[in-house]
Amino acid sequence: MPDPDVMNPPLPPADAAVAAALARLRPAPAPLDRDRLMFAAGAESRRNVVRLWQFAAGILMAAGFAAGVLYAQSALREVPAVTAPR
Amino acid sequence: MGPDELAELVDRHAAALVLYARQWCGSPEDVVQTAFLKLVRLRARPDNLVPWLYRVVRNGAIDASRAARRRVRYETAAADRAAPWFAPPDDPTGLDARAAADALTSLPDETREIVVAHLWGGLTFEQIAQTLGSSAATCYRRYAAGLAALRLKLGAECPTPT
Repeated sequence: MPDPDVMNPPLPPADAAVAAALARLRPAPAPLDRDRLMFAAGAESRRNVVRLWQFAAGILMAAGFAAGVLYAQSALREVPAVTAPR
Repeated sequence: MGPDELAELVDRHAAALVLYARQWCGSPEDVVQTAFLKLVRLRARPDNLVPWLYRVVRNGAIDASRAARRRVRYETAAADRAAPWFAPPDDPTGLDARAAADALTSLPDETREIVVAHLWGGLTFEQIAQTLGSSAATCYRRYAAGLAALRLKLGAECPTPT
């Protein structure tokens, strides 16, 4: 895919000089607390892991509950007594 | 996303993202930090990571600006402690950082954000168009118009091509 910037008409030289002069300026350093950001990012990614663990535990608990209900129902079901013919 | 990759992204793009967000709001570092945290929360990495960051920062900065406008006192205090847009230039013969920031401030918002994203963010016009929901040709036209306006404002200070 061609770079769309290449397809644009060239800037007038005077404007290109302005762009070059501006581009030489460096943005002021970001007043970010990098350590705080990395710590918060670590906490966020950990939260995803916890959610996954909670989800798996929830599924297992639901499956256990369903199995218990089925077992209870089967235990309550009346089984007709069958006697052997004499 | 691993911590090393995140740290590299922060080191490479944080300053330009803060400059980009500064156009709209008085607390750009908070907006940029929130954008990085949103990135960490994503399950899948965005296809165009850097334009995605710029889009999230733009939306966050505009939201923050709306919230700040409702708190007039806060806005006044923020204006008083407005941080410089650019680091002091290494080259004393280059543009004056303060004059450049003032000239940029005078541009219409929709032009300034394109100039900032292209010159300091390094985004192509296609990427800027994705961020703004516009076309690359429109972005380029605005960029060219913005540079022409900046040349008029900064004309005396810009080196003329030989």
